[in-house]
Amino acid sequence: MRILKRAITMIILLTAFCAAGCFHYPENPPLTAINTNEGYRYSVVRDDPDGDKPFVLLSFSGGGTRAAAFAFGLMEELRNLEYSKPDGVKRKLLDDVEIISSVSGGSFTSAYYALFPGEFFTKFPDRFLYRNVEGALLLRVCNPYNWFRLAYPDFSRIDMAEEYYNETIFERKTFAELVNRQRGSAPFLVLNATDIGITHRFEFTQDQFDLLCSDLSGVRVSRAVAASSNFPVAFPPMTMNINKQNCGPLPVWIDAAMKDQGLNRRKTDALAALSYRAEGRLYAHLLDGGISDNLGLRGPFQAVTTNDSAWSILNQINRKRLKQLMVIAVNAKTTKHSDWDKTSKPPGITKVLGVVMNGPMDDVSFDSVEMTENHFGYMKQLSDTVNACNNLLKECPAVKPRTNPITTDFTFTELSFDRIPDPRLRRCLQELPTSFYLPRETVDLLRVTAAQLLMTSDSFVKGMQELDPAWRPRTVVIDGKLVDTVCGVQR
Amino acid sequence: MEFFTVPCPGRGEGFIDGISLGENKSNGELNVFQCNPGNHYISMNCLAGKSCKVSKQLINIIDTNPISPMEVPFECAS
Repeated sequence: MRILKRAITMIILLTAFCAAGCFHYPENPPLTAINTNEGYRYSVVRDDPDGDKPFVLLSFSGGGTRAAAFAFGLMEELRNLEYSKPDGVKRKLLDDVEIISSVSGGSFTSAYYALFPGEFFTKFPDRFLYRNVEGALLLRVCNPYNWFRLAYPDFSRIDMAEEYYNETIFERKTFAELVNRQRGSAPFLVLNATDIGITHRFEFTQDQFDLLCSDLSGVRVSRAVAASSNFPVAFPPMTMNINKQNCGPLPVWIDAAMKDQGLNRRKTDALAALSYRAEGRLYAHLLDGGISDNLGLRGPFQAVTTNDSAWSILNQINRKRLKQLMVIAVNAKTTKHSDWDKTSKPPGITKVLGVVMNGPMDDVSFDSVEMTENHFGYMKQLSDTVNACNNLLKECPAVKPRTNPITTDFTFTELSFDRIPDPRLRRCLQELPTSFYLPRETVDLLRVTAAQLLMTSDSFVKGMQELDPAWRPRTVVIDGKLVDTVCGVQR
Repeated sequence: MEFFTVPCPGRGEGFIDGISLGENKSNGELNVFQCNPGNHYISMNCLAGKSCKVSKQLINIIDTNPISPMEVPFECAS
């Protein structure tokens, strides 16, 4: 009888507690007035780029722990990589990383580095890479207390997962932590999700939150990472509030873009931005960033090719602050090898769903890589044309040569399993699952593979030697026993 | 990629869609700026105590190249 009374009291107390709004997603706070000198923006947290140093931009793809470990391997290699400046002073390339744009699994690595650069290399592997995050999340779902909470409409599995990330990985830090620290102490972090109401990339920067009249400083970093890795179906969309008070005008480029003829990417971006101020749009629902861009490259591409991006790199080029731009994309895309076409029987629903989910995403990623490579090639071609023209003009001394306005060298490097020369290792990593748990040896193999791919990338080596002609890549040897453990013993 | 200059008789600081491009000239020679194709608000802040007759222009910048950039002229009056 006493137990029953206690149970009833507990239920009444919980119900009363919940009526007060305890089981609700943490709301992103409103912003009363936009101030472009405050908040988590590139111009606030980074100094103006120094043309004497390379401007390094990293993009980390989605792919669960596989992607996080692959990105971590790149970071380790950048930490070890030193070059000599023209004055002979040694410098680590890691210190030249200005921006990291990431998606889904890659966002765990980028966010942890931005928050805790001093302890990243020692603590992140145990905090995330070697941890069975998937198992821990499943345990939380099995907890009866959480069933009760999940019954409420404004609290869902993604909010529960985010609580776990917040408590166990990101130490309850908000974006205010990134704003208030010493300027330039960590790269500018761009965590990408997808706004499914408009099927558009959504980045966790104050410039994006200005559109929602919301203050990103009051948002936990773990919410951004959870939104970025919010895998459809496994989790429901994450909700962000759009505040309707007038906090200030929209960026000028939006009005200019709306006057463009026809419909192009720029106008689509402008329409997406305008949608947050539309009457009746009160919430944004966010899913995995991979739905709109699984490489995290679209934001950087926009920043390099337009003046419209809030962190436009083209604007820095116009200010002559950039001599060398190095973009390194970590692409943990897998390629599943099937033998469906050997029989007349069509593949089952799970396999078909896999194709439906990954097929378009892989296609967009392929295009993103090609667009970036083509743009860099195009800029070089334009620059070569001006130089060729000036060479011809040497025969006409009366004509003044043209100053070449393209003064930036571009280097693009993609690390992907498809580029692994050893067919056994390539196939083995291409077949890895997308999950939040991988065996320790698999994580270690991904780390060393990223290092080897970087050191054997022709474009990266060329870019480094433009920076320091004496620089040579180190030889990265992958332990055969490690490969055997992860991929099976070779017959 | 598109290329443009912002000439004026004197010196000035150019802007594209409200973002500074820096000074319009270096060592007396016009700087060539880069932008994405389409409409842009180009403005100028005249330096050396002068002000622009027209401070902002909406210009459709397309079909340019680095050898023949589009000119978006401004006049600085005292």
